[in-house]
Amino acid sequence: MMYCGLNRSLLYLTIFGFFLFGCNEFEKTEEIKNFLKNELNTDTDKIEVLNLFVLQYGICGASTEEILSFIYSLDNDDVYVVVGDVDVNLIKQLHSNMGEEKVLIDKNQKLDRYGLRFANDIFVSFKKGEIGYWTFVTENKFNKIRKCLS
Amino acid sequence: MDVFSLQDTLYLAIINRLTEKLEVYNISENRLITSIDYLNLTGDVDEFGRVLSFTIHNFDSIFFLQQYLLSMTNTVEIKWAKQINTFKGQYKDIFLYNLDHAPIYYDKNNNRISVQTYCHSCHDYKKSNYTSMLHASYSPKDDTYMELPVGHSKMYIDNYYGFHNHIFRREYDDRYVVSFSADPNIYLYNKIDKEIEVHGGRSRYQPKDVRILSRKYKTDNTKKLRHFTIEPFYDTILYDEYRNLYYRFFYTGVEDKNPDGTYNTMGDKELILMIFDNDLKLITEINFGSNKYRPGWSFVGKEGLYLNVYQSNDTTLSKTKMYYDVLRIK
Repeated sequence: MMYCGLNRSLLYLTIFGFFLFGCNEFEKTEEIKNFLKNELNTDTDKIEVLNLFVLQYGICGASTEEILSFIYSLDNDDVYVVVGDVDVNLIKQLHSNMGEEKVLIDKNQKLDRYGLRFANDIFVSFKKGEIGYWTFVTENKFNKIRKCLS
Repeated sequence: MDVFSLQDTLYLAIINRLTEKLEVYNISENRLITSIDYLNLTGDVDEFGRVLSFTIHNFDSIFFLQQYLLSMTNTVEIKWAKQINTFKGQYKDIFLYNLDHAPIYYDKNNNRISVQTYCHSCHDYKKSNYTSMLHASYSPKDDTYMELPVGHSKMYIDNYYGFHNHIFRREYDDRYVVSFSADPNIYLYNKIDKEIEVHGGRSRYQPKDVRILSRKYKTDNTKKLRHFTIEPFYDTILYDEYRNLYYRFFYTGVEDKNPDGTYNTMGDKELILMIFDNDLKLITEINFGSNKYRPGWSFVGKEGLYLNVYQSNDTTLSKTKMYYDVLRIK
Protein backbone atom coordinates (compact mmCIF):
# COMPACT_ATOMS: atom_id res chain seq x y z
CA MET A 1 0.00 0.00 0.00
CA MET A 2 2.80 2.38 0.88
CA TYR A 3 4.44 1.84 -2.47
CA CYS A 4 1.08 2.37 -4.10
CA GLY A 5 0.62 5.68 -2.25
CA LEU A 6 4.14 6.79 -3.11
CA ASN A 7 3.57 5.97 -6.74
CA ARG A 8 0.34 7.95 -6.74
CA SER A 9 2.11 10.96 -5.19
CA LEU A 10 4.80 10.69 -7.81
CA LEU A 11 2.14 10.51 -10.48
CA TYR A 12 0.43 13.66 -9.19
CA LEU A 13 3.76 15.46 -9.03
CA THR A 14 4.56 14.38 -12.56
CA ILE A 15 1.16 15.52 -13.87
CA PHE A 16 1.45 18.82 -11.97
CA GLY A 17 4.98 19.30 -13.28
CA PHE A 18 3.85 18.57 -16.81
CA PHE A 19 1.17 21.25 -16.72
CA LEU A 20 3.44 23.72 -14.96
CA PHE A 21 6.56 23.32 -17.09
CA GLY A 22 6.42 20.65 -19.77
CA CYS A 23 3.41 21.94 -21.66
CA ASN A 24 5.04 25.00 -23.02
CA GLU A 25 8.72 24.60 -22.41
CA PHE A 26 10.80 25.37 -25.47
CA GLU A 27 13.85 23.14 -25.47
CA LYS A 28 15.81 25.29 -27.93
CA THR A 29 15.65 28.59 -26.07
CA GLU A 30 19.38 29.30 -26.14
CA GLU A 31 19.58 28.21 -29.76
CA ILE A 32 16.85 30.57 -30.97
CA LYS A 33 18.24 33.48 -28.96
CA ASN A 34 21.70 32.87 -30.40
CA PHE A 35 20.29 32.50 -33.89
CA LEU A 36 18.41 35.79 -33.67
CA LYS A 37 21.41 37.57 -32.20
CA ASN A 38 24.13 36.17 -34.46
CA GLU A 39 22.31 35.81 -37.74
CA LEU A 40 19.56 38.42 -37.62
CA ASN A 41 21.15 40.99 -35.35
CA THR A 42 18.20 40.81 -32.97
CA ASP A 43 18.94 40.75 -29.24
CA THR A 44 15.80 39.47 -27.56
CA ASP A 45 17.07 40.58 -24.14
CA LYS A 46 16.83 44.17 -25.30
CA ILE A 47 13.35 43.95 -26.75
CA GLU A 48 10.25 44.33 -24.58
CA VAL A 49 8.00 42.06 -26.68
CA LEU A 50 8.81 40.03 -29.75
CA ASN A 51 6.36 37.64 -31.38
CA LEU A 52 8.00 35.53 -33.99
CA PHE A 53 6.88 33.05 -36.59
CA VAL A 54 9.77 30.90 -37.79
CA LEU A 55 8.81 29.43 -41.15
CA GLN A 56 10.29 26.06 -41.99
CA TYR A 57 11.21 26.19 -45.66
CA GLY A 58 11.10 23.05 -47.74
CA ILE A 59 8.97 21.10 -45.29
CA CYS A 60 5.72 19.50 -46.39
CA GLY A 61 2.82 21.04 -44.47
CA ALA A 62 4.75 24.13 -43.37
CA SER A 63 4.04 27.68 -44.60
CA THR A 64 0.73 26.61 -46.12
CA GLU A 65 -1.76 29.13 -47.51
CA GLU A 66 -3.85 28.72 -44.34
CA ILE A 67 -0.88 29.49 -42.11
CA LEU A 68 0.24 32.47 -44.17
CA SER A 69 -3.31 33.85 -44.30
CA PHE A 70 -3.50 33.51 -40.54
CA ILE A 71 -0.24 35.39 -40.07
CA TYR A 72 -1.41 38.15 -42.45
CA SER A 73 -4.64 38.45 -40.49
CA LEU A 74 -2.79 39.44 -37.32
CA ASP A 75 -2.54 43.17 -36.86
CA ASN A 76 -0.08 43.26 -33.97
CA ASP A 77 2.89 45.57 -34.43
CA ASP A 78 5.27 43.21 -32.68
CA VAL A 79 4.74 40.20 -34.98
CA TYR A 80 7.72 39.25 -37.15
CA VAL A 81 8.44 36.39 -39.51
CA VAL A 82 11.72 34.56 -40.07
CA VAL A 83 12.05 33.01 -43.51
CA GLY A 84 14.91 31.38 -45.43
CA ASP A 85 16.14 33.00 -48.62
CA VAL A 86 15.24 29.96 -50.73
CA ASP A 87 11.78 30.96 -51.92
CA VAL A 88 11.83 34.35 -53.63
CA ASN A 89 8.09 34.32 -54.29
CA LEU A 90 7.28 33.67 -50.65
CA ILE A 91 9.52 36.53 -49.56
CA LYS A 92 7.80 38.86 -52.04
CA GLN A 93 4.43 37.77 -50.73
CA LEU A 94 5.48 38.32 -47.10
CA HIS A 95 6.89 41.74 -47.96
CA SER A 96 3.71 42.88 -49.63
CA ASN A 97 1.44 41.56 -46.87
CA MET A 98 3.46 42.46 -43.81
CA GLY A 99 5.93 45.11 -44.88
CA GLU A 100 9.64 44.53 -45.41
CA GLU A 101 10.59 45.52 -41.85
CA LYS A 102 8.55 42.63 -40.44
CA VAL A 103 10.30 39.97 -42.48
CA LEU A 104 13.63 38.71 -41.15
CA ILE A 105 15.51 36.78 -43.80
CA ASP A 106 17.72 33.87 -42.87
CA LYS A 107 20.21 34.69 -45.61
CA ASN A 108 22.50 31.73 -45.20
CA GLN A 109 19.84 29.23 -44.19
CA LYS A 110 21.31 28.82 -40.76
CA LEU A 111 18.18 27.53 -39.00
CA ASP A 112 19.44 23.96 -39.30
CA ARG A 113 22.83 24.88 -37.92
CA TYR A 114 21.18 26.25 -34.77
CA GLY A 115 19.01 23.16 -34.35
CA LEU A 116 15.86 25.07 -35.24
CA ARG A 117 14.62 22.71 -37.91
CA PHE A 118 11.15 21.50 -37.10
CA ALA A 119 8.51 19.56 -38.96
CA ASN A 120 6.12 22.53 -38.61
CA ASP A 121 6.42 26.29 -38.54
CA ILE A 122 6.82 27.56 -34.99
CA PHE A 123 5.52 30.57 -33.12
CA VAL A 124 7.61 31.94 -30.25
CA SER A 125 6.61 34.82 -28.00
CA PHE A 126 9.42 36.61 -26.15
CA LYS A 127 8.81 38.99 -23.26
CA LYS A 128 11.92 40.74 -21.99
CA GLY A 129 14.10 37.99 -23.38
CA GLU A 130 12.10 35.14 -21.86
CA ILE A 131 9.89 32.82 -23.85
CA GLY A 132 6.36 33.21 -22.52
CA TYR A 133 4.69 30.95 -25.04
CA TRP A 134 5.58 28.85 -28.02
CA THR A 135 3.81 26.38 -30.22
CA PHE A 136 3.96 24.59 -33.53
CA VAL A 137 1.81 26.53 -35.96
CA THR A 138 -1.08 24.35 -37.01
CA GLU A 139 -4.67 25.34 -37.69
CA ASN A 140 -5.86 24.06 -34.34
CA LYS A 141 -3.42 26.41 -32.61
CA PHE A 142 -4.58 29.60 -34.33
CA ASN A 143 -6.91 30.58 -31.49
CA LYS A 144 -4.24 30.03 -28.85
CA ILE A 145 -1.79 32.17 -30.77
CA ARG A 146 -4.40 34.91 -31.12
CA LYS A 147 -5.05 34.72 -27.39
CA CYS A 148 -1.34 35.00 -26.69
CA LEU A 149 -1.14 38.08 -28.87
CA SER A 150 -4.16 39.79 -27.36
CA MET B 1 13.92 11.65 -65.38
CA ASP B 2 14.42 8.78 -67.84
CA VAL B 3 17.34 7.59 -69.90
CA PHE B 4 16.56 5.54 -72.98
CA SER B 5 18.30 4.24 -76.07
CA LEU B 6 17.04 4.42 -79.66
CA GLN B 7 19.08 3.09 -82.59
CA ASP B 8 22.21 3.12 -80.49
CA THR B 9 21.73 6.73 -79.42
CA LEU B 10 21.22 7.54 -75.77
CA TYR B 11 18.70 10.16 -74.67
CA LEU B 12 17.96 11.87 -71.40
CA ALA B 13 14.35 12.93 -70.82
CA ILE B 14 13.25 15.25 -68.04
CA ILE B 15 10.09 17.06 -67.08
CA ASN B 16 10.89 20.74 -66.84
CA ARG B 17 8.49 22.02 -64.17
CA LEU B 18 9.23 25.64 -65.09
CA THR B 19 8.13 25.28 -68.71
CA GLU B 20 5.87 22.24 -68.14
CA LYS B 21 7.54 20.51 -71.06
CA LEU B 22 8.95 17.03 -71.45
CA GLU B 23 12.43 17.75 -72.77
CA VAL B 24 14.51 15.12 -74.55
CA TYR B 25 18.26 15.55 -74.92
CA ASN B 26 20.75 13.67 -77.05
CA ILE B 27 23.36 12.87 -74.42
CA SER B 28 26.42 12.44 -76.60
CA GLU B 29 25.69 15.61 -78.58
CA ASN B 30 24.56 17.52 -75.46
CA ARG B 31 21.64 18.86 -77.46
CA LEU B 32 17.90 19.33 -76.95
CA ILE B 33 16.11 17.09 -79.47
CA THR B 34 12.49 17.82 -78.72
CA SER B 35 10.30 19.57 -76.21
CA ILE B 36 6.91 17.93 -75.75
CA ASP B 37 3.87 19.67 -74.32
CA TYR B 38 3.09 16.71 -72.09
CA LEU B 39 0.16 18.32 -70.28
CA ASN B 40 -1.86 17.86 -73.48
CA LEU B 41 -0.94 14.19 -73.52
CA THR B 42 -1.83 13.34 -69.95
CA GLY B 43 -4.98 13.37 -67.84
CA ASP B 44 -6.26 16.62 -66.40
CA VAL B 45 -4.09 17.49 -63.42
CA ASP B 46 -7.04 18.50 -61.21
CA GLU B 47 -8.78 15.19 -61.85
CA PHE B 48 -5.88 12.74 -62.06
CA GLY B 49 -3.01 14.48 -60.27
CA ARG B 50 0.38 15.56 -61.56
CA VAL B 51 2.77 13.28 -63.42
CA LEU B 52 4.66 11.20 -60.84
CA SER B 53 6.80 9.23 -63.20
CA PHE B 54 7.26 8.50 -66.88
CA THR B 55 9.27 6.25 -69.12
CA ILE B 56 9.96 6.41 -72.84
CA HIS B 57 10.19 3.14 -74.72
CA ASN B 58 10.27 4.98 -78.03
CA PHE B 59 8.52 8.08 -79.36
CA ASP B 60 5.41 6.00 -80.10
CA SER B 61 5.29 4.55 -76.58
CA ILE B 62 5.63 7.06 -73.79
CA PHE B 63 4.17 5.94 -70.46
CA PHE B 64 2.93 8.34 -67.80
CA LEU B 65 1.96 7.59 -64.22
CA GLN B 66 -0.37 10.06 -62.53
CA GLN B 67 -2.07 9.61 -59.19
CA TYR B 68 -5.22 8.17 -60.76
CA LEU B 69 -4.21 7.45 -64.34
CA LEU B 70 -1.72 5.30 -66.17
CA SER B 71 -1.43 6.14 -69.85
CA MET B 72 0.54 5.58 -73.00
CA THR B 73 0.99 8.27 -75.60
CA ASN B 74 3.06 9.11 -78.61
CA THR B 75 4.28 12.67 -79.07
CA VAL B 76 0.92 13.96 -80.27
CA GLU B 77 -1.91 11.91 -78.79
CA ILE B 78 -2.97 9.52 -76.03
CA LYS B 79 -3.00 5.90 -77.23
CA TRP B 80 -4.64 4.46 -74.13
CA ALA B 81 -5.36 5.52 -70.56
CA LYS B 82 -6.45 3.43 -67.60
CA GLN B 83 -7.86 4.75 -64.39
CA ILE B 84 -5.93 3.40 -61.42
CA ASN B 85 -6.15 3.59 -57.65
CA THR B 86 -9.92 3.36 -57.62
CA PHE B 87 -9.99 1.74 -54.15
CA LYS B 88 -11.92 -1.23 -55.53
CA GLY B 89 -11.33 -4.94 -55.97
CA GLN B 90 -8.72 -7.30 -54.60
CA TYR B 91 -6.07 -4.64 -54.11
CA LYS B 92 -8.27 -1.81 -52.89
CA ASP B 93 -5.77 -0.90 -50.14
CA ILE B 94 -2.84 -0.76 -52.54
CA PHE B 95 -1.87 2.45 -54.28
CA LEU B 96 0.21 2.44 -57.46
CA TYR B 97 2.61 5.28 -56.99
CA ASN B 98 6.12 6.60 -57.35
CA LEU B 99 7.71 8.13 -54.33
CA ASP B 100 10.43 9.68 -56.53
CA HIS B 101 12.97 6.92 -56.22
CA ALA B 102 11.26 4.09 -58.07
CA PRO B 103 10.43 5.20 -61.61
CA ILE B 104 7.98 3.15 -63.66
CA TYR B 105 9.44 0.68 -66.13
CA TYR B 106 7.99 -0.72 -69.32
CA ASP B 107 8.94 -4.35 -69.91
CA LYS B 108 8.75 -4.96 -73.65
CA ASN B 109 9.13 -8.72 -73.13
CA ASN B 110 5.73 -9.11 -71.52
CA ASN B 111 4.14 -5.75 -72.34
CA ARG B 112 3.71 -4.92 -68.64
CA ILE B 113 4.57 -1.89 -66.56
CA SER B 114 6.28 -2.09 -63.20
CA VAL B 115 5.08 0.42 -60.62
CA GLN B 116 5.95 0.98 -56.99
CA THR B 117 3.05 0.45 -54.59
CA TYR B 118 2.19 1.27 -51.02
CA CYS B 119 -0.63 0.52 -48.63
CA HIS B 120 -2.65 3.74 -48.36
CA SER B 121 -4.71 2.44 -45.44
CA CYS B 122 -1.68 1.40 -43.34
CA HIS B 123 0.09 3.63 -40.85
CA ASP B 124 3.81 3.90 -41.53
CA TYR B 125 4.61 2.82 -37.96
CA LYS B 126 2.62 -0.42 -38.26
CA LYS B 127 4.09 -3.68 -39.47
CA SER B 128 1.25 -3.97 -41.97
CA ASN B 129 2.78 -1.08 -43.90
CA TYR B 130 5.90 -3.17 -44.50
CA THR B 131 4.27 -6.52 -45.10
CA SER B 132 2.12 -5.06 -47.85
CA MET B 133 3.00 -5.03 -51.54
CA LEU B 134 6.10 -3.04 -52.50
CA HIS B 135 5.72 -3.08 -56.28
CA ALA B 136 3.46 -4.49 -58.93
CA SER B 137 3.45 -5.41 -62.56
CA TYR B 138 0.51 -3.87 -64.42
CA SER B 139 -1.00 -5.27 -67.60
CA PRO B 140 -2.80 -2.64 -69.66
CA LYS B 141 -4.17 -5.41 -71.86
CA ASP B 142 -6.45 -6.88 -69.20
CA ASP B 143 -6.25 -4.06 -66.65
CA THR B 144 -4.89 -6.28 -63.88
CA TYR B 145 -1.79 -6.19 -61.79
CA MET B 146 0.19 -8.72 -59.82
CA GLU B 147 2.66 -8.44 -56.99
CA LEU B 148 6.32 -8.61 -57.96
CA PRO B 149 8.95 -10.62 -56.06
CA VAL B 150 11.06 -8.82 -53.40
CA GLY B 151 9.19 -7.32 -50.49
CA HIS B 152 10.17 -4.79 -47.86
CA SER B 153 13.36 -5.33 -45.94
CA LYS B 154 12.95 -7.35 -42.74
CA MET B 155 14.54 -4.45 -40.88
CA TYR B 156 11.40 -2.40 -41.44
CA ILE B 157 9.09 -5.23 -40.46
CA ASP B 158 10.96 -5.74 -37.19
CA ASN B 159 11.86 -2.16 -36.34
CA TYR B 160 10.71 1.41 -36.81
CA TYR B 161 12.81 4.00 -38.63
CA GLY B 162 10.38 6.92 -38.95
CA PHE B 163 10.98 8.92 -42.14
CA HIS B 164 14.03 6.79 -42.87
CA ASN B 165 11.97 4.36 -44.95
CA HIS B 166 12.84 5.29 -48.52
CA ILE B 167 12.80 2.70 -51.26
CA PHE B 168 15.07 2.85 -54.29
CA ARG B 169 14.18 0.67 -57.21
CA ARG B 170 15.58 0.41 -60.73
CA GLU B 171 14.58 -2.08 -63.38
CA TYR B 172 16.43 -3.33 -66.45
CA ASP B 173 15.86 -5.86 -69.22
CA ASP B 174 16.89 -8.90 -67.20
CA ARG B 175 16.82 -7.73 -63.58
CA TYR B 176 15.65 -5.23 -61.07
CA VAL B 177 17.37 -4.02 -57.97
CA VAL B 178 15.79 -2.77 -54.75
CA SER B 179 17.49 -0.92 -51.94
CA PHE B 180 16.24 0.62 -48.69
CA SER B 181 17.60 3.74 -47.07
CA ALA B 182 18.38 2.13 -43.69
CA ASP B 183 19.34 -1.34 -44.88
CA PRO B 184 22.88 -2.07 -46.14
CA ASN B 185 21.64 -5.12 -48.06
CA ILE B 186 20.88 -4.99 -51.74
CA TYR B 187 17.98 -7.02 -53.15
CA LEU B 188 18.36 -8.24 -56.69
CA TYR B 189 15.78 -10.05 -58.78
CA ASN B 190 16.93 -12.01 -61.79
CA LYS B 191 14.06 -11.95 -64.28
CA ILE B 192 15.50 -14.80 -66.34
CA ASP B 193 16.09 -17.28 -63.51
CA LYS B 194 13.24 -15.81 -61.46
CA GLU B 195 15.40 -15.75 -58.36
CA ILE B 196 15.84 -13.26 -55.57
CA GLU B 197 19.39 -12.62 -54.39
CA VAL B 198 20.28 -10.71 -51.24
CA HIS B 199 23.75 -9.20 -51.12
CA GLY B 200 25.52 -7.48 -48.29
CA GLY B 201 26.18 -3.96 -49.48
CA ARG B 202 27.42 -2.15 -46.41
CA SER B 203 29.63 0.86 -46.91
CA ARG B 204 33.00 1.01 -45.19
CA TYR B 205 31.93 4.49 -44.19
CA GLN B 206 29.10 3.11 -42.04
CA PRO B 207 30.55 2.06 -38.67
CA LYS B 208 27.16 1.93 -36.94
CA ASP B 209 23.72 0.67 -37.91
CA VAL B 210 20.99 3.21 -38.48
CA ARG B 211 19.48 3.93 -35.07
CA ILE B 212 16.10 2.31 -34.46
CA LEU B 213 13.38 4.75 -33.44
CA SER B 214 10.95 3.99 -30.68
CA ARG B 215 7.37 3.84 -31.92
CA LYS B 216 6.47 6.30 -29.18
CA TYR B 217 7.80 8.94 -31.61
CA LYS B 218 5.40 7.84 -34.32
CA THR B 219 3.65 11.25 -34.35
CA ASP B 220 6.69 13.34 -33.44
CA ASN B 221 7.63 14.57 -36.90
CA THR B 222 10.41 16.82 -35.62
CA LYS B 223 12.07 13.86 -33.90
CA LYS B 224 11.69 11.77 -37.03
CA LEU B 225 13.05 14.58 -39.19
CA ARG B 226 16.13 14.92 -37.00
CA HIS B 227 16.71 11.17 -37.05
CA PHE B 228 16.41 11.17 -40.83
CA THR B 229 18.81 14.14 -41.04
CA ILE B 230 21.72 12.73 -39.08
CA GLU B 231 21.60 8.97 -39.58
CA PRO B 232 23.51 7.26 -42.44
CA PHE B 233 21.45 6.84 -45.59
CA TYR B 234 21.60 4.51 -48.60
CA ASP B 235 20.43 6.41 -51.66
CA THR B 236 20.02 5.64 -55.37
CA ILE B 237 21.29 2.37 -56.82
CA LEU B 238 22.04 1.97 -60.54
CA TYR B 239 23.11 -0.89 -62.76
CA ASP B 240 25.66 -0.18 -65.49
CA GLU B 241 24.74 -2.40 -68.42
CA TYR B 242 27.78 -1.26 -70.40
CA ARG B 243 30.36 -2.32 -67.84
CA ASN B 244 28.35 -4.80 -65.71
CA LEU B 245 28.78 -2.77 -62.55
CA TYR B 246 26.47 -1.45 -59.87
CA TYR B 247 26.68 2.02 -58.36
CA ARG B 248 25.18 2.80 -55.01
CA PHE B 249 25.22 6.19 -53.32
CA PHE B 250 25.58 6.40 -49.59
CA TYR B 251 25.39 9.38 -47.22
CA THR B 252 27.49 9.07 -44.09
CA GLY B 253 25.95 9.63 -40.66
CA VAL B 254 26.80 12.74 -38.66
CA GLU B 255 26.75 13.58 -34.97
CA ASP B 256 23.79 15.58 -33.73
CA LYS B 257 25.92 18.46 -32.43
CA ASN B 258 29.45 19.76 -32.91
CA PRO B 259 31.82 20.67 -30.06
CA ASP B 260 31.07 24.37 -30.69
CA GLY B 261 27.37 23.78 -29.96
CA THR B 262 26.16 24.05 -33.54
CA TYR B 263 24.04 21.33 -35.05
CA ASN B 264 24.92 19.17 -38.01
CA THR B 265 22.72 19.31 -41.09
CA MET B 266 21.95 17.16 -44.09
CA GLY B 267 24.57 19.15 -45.99
CA ASP B 268 27.29 18.00 -43.61
CA LYS B 269 26.91 14.41 -44.70
CA GLU B 270 29.52 13.09 -47.10
CA LEU B 271 28.41 11.40 -50.28
CA ILE B 272 30.08 8.07 -50.99
CA LEU B 273 29.90 6.31 -54.33
CA MET B 274 30.07 2.55 -53.88
CA ILE B 275 31.06 0.56 -56.96
CA PHE B 276 30.18 -3.15 -57.11
CA ASP B 277 31.00 -5.78 -59.69
CA ASN B 278 28.37 -7.85 -61.50
CA ASP B 279 28.19 -10.23 -58.51
CA LEU B 280 27.56 -7.28 -56.21
CA LYS B 281 30.96 -7.56 -54.59
CA LEU B 282 32.19 -4.19 -53.46
CA ILE B 283 35.14 -3.06 -55.59
CA THR B 284 35.79 0.40 -54.27
CA GLU B 285 34.26 3.49 -52.68
CA ILE B 286 34.82 7.11 -53.62
CA ASN B 287 34.22 9.87 -51.11
CA PHE B 288 32.88 12.96 -52.89
CA GLY B 289 32.61 15.01 -49.72
CA SER B 290 29.50 17.08 -49.13
CA ASN B 291 27.21 19.02 -51.47
CA LYS B 292 28.91 18.01 -54.69
CA TYR B 293 26.54 15.65 -56.49
CA ARG B 294 22.86 14.70 -56.46
CA PRO B 295 22.38 10.92 -56.70
CA GLY B 296 18.73 11.02 -57.79
CA TRP B 297 19.55 12.90 -60.99
CA SER B 298 22.62 10.84 -61.86
CA PHE B 299 22.49 8.15 -64.53
CA VAL B 300 24.55 5.63 -66.48
CA GLY B 301 25.60 6.36 -70.06
CA LYS B 302 27.96 4.85 -72.59
CA GLU B 303 30.76 7.11 -71.43
CA GLY B 304 30.41 6.27 -67.76
CA LEU B 305 28.47 7.42 -64.72
CA TYR B 306 26.93 10.85 -65.22
CA LEU B 307 27.05 12.58 -61.85
CA ASN B 308 24.58 15.42 -61.50
CA VAL B 309 26.35 18.46 -60.06
CA TYR B 310 24.77 19.99 -56.97
CA GLN B 311 24.32 23.60 -58.00
CA SER B 312 22.81 25.37 -55.00
CA ASN B 313 26.00 26.71 -53.50
CA ASP B 314 27.79 27.50 -56.75
CA THR B 315 26.80 30.94 -58.02
CA THR B 316 28.87 30.50 -61.18
CA LEU B 317 26.48 27.84 -62.47
CA SER B 318 23.29 28.77 -64.31
CA LYS B 319 20.08 27.90 -62.47
CA THR B 320 18.41 27.05 -65.76
CA LYS B 321 20.87 24.33 -66.75
CA MET B 322 21.79 20.91 -65.44
CA TYR B 323 25.46 20.07 -65.09
CA TYR B 324 27.08 16.65 -65.12
CA ASP B 325 30.55 15.30 -64.45
CA VAL B 326 31.21 11.98 -66.14
CA LEU B 327 33.04 9.36 -64.13
CA ARG B 328 34.81 7.16 -66.67
CA ILE B 329 35.60 3.72 -65.32
CA LYS B 330 38.08 1.48 -67.12
